[in-house]
Amino acid sequence: MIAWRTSGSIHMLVQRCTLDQHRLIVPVSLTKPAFESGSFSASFSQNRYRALVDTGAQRTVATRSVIASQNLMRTGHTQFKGIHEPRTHTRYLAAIGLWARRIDQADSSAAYEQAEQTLFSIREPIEIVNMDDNSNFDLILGFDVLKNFSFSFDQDTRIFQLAVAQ
Amino acid sequence: MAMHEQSESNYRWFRNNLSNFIPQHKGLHALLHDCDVDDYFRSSLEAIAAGLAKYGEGNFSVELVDDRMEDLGFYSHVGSALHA
Repeated sequence: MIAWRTSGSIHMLVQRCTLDQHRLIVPVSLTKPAFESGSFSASFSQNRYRALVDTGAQRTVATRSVIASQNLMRTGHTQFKGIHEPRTHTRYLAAIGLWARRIDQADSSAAYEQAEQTLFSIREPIEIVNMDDNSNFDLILGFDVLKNFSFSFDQDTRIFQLAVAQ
Repeated sequence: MAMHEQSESNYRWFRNNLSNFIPQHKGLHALLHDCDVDDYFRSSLEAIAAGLAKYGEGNFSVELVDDRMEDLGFYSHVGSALHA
């Protein structure tokens, strides 16, 4: 976990959310990576998408609208298990960042709400697949993204926390 | 050839020939250009970077040499059924 000490307190980048109809939704940004001189880079806008946390997914999925609005580059195809039969979807290259707040490890929830949000970008682009649009969320965050974070769920407060991991 | 067409035609050709690639290249990522394999890479991102450098966006695609399927969690088991 990325944490640093200032005057005796430990700070870290976290995103907290409560259950939304027994689902976890977190704010993320997504953009088309640039490629120059053999390496990738990303410049994000302030656009935020609703991302469902799904620890059972091996790969992140995004709606066709999100992919079209960001003009993502097609890279190939992926076959995956469907409920009735195998399905083939298109893969796209994307840079993804999670909106998080920089807080003291011991901060109260009030302090968390007051902390300014900052975007933590995952170091390398990932390949996502497309899905049809729906009214509940814009992306499904799979373990290709979630592996970059520590996460926990507090049964008493019903709060889910994602923290930036090394 | 536009990216969409190149990607789709490359994939059709790749699937038709996949059984020939698996014995020697299983688990590697094939960089495809004009329905042919340019090279194999350990990661998809390496293959994409090579494709961008050599052919430019829209003129290549990358496929995994494997016949296994991925599990997309909610989307595999519930979401995709809505559109089946």
